[in-house]
Amino acid sequence: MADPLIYVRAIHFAATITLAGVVFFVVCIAGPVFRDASAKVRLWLAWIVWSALLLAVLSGAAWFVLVAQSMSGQPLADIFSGGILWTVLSQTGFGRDWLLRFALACLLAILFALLLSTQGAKSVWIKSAVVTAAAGLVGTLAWAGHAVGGPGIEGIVHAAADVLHLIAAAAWVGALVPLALLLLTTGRDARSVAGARAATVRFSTFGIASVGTLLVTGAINTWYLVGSVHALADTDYGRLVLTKVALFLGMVAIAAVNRLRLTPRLVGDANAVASANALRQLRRNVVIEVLVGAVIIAIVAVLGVTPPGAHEDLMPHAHHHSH
Amino acid sequence: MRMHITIVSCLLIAFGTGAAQAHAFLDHASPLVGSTVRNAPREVTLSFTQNLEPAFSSVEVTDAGGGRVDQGKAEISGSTMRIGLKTLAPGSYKVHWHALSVDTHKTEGSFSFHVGGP
Repeated sequence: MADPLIYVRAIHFAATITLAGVVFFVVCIAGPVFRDASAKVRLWLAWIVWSALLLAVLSGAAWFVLVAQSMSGQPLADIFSGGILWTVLSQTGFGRDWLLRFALACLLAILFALLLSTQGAKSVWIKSAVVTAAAGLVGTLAWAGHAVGGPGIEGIVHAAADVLHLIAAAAWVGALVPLALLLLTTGRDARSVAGARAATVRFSTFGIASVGTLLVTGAINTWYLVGSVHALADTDYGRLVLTKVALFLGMVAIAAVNRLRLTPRLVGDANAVASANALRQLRRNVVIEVLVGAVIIAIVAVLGVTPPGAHEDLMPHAHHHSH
Repeated sequence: MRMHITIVSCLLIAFGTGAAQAHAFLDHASPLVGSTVRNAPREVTLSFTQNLEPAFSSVEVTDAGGGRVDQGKAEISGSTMRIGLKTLAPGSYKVHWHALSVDTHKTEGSFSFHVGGP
């Protein structure tokens, strides 16, 4: 029924955002807490990163093949034998970006492996490099979307806004995954609870910065994308965006409750009733946030194959092929 | 106050979703779409709304009988596509273009122009 590209995009976005989120979380957000965390948590997080990386590479390859097929207009079987794949890889902006992203994925794999070693975990170089590679892998997703290709200064600004938008999304939604894992494995002793509290507080601080970035870059993207207010209600694209807003509002509301009401109650050890309740609710809330985030990613996957409201008016002299 | 800011902010964020489709549509052409020109043009120039991928974009110009009157390979740079023409006799000509935008979406379209007599 639905375009296979939607599923491939959704998987690729989810995998890329999650693996970047774990990297950001481990290096920047909850570094000290992560160092004290149990070997089990560290093992889980490493497993998540390797799986996500593999999934990202596989879905990335599938995405590339589907786009090559659509660009050339030839049936799937034919593009493997002709030089189509090579033409797309070497002669199109998309192909070159995809090659760069593959190189970044390989680099990220090496750097993450180094990060896991005791030497690497202390090295500022490795930590900076792995965060940069992760940010690069996420940011270059902008070239898989419409933010590029616009001519002139406008094109550059729009692309830059989209790059930052993607990185901020990974820093917030992606980092929720390791936060959830950390909270779910928090022990009841005072030290673990204090660790959970510290991680959540630091996460919120970064979260505010991410939301702020999403806001500014979102406004810039809106400026270029929204054709009219009526397009919001009248087009598929507009309705999907409205759904995304609603879900986003939900996430922000939950985050506010987590930060303002629950986290301050994480005092002492988890045997105190208030503290235990707070931890339990926090766990549940963060898991809910992750699930809502996943739905938002699914919507983004569909949005990418839907003509934006602003472009519905530009059709008089052309027919287009949607894929 | 804070709630208003939050709501407006969230609406703005939502639209900043990026990664949506953009197609290269014909913005303007020379000769002008549907126009009649007195002197036969040497080339057709097409300007699009998005930057194009040269590897997968093309254009054909045909006469009333369907025969090709262009020089074959279009010159594509940025959002502009240009193709040389053979000497055109007065009459009706059709331009059929295929565009692949840099963000991987295909569009095509056509228009006519007329070369008037002396």
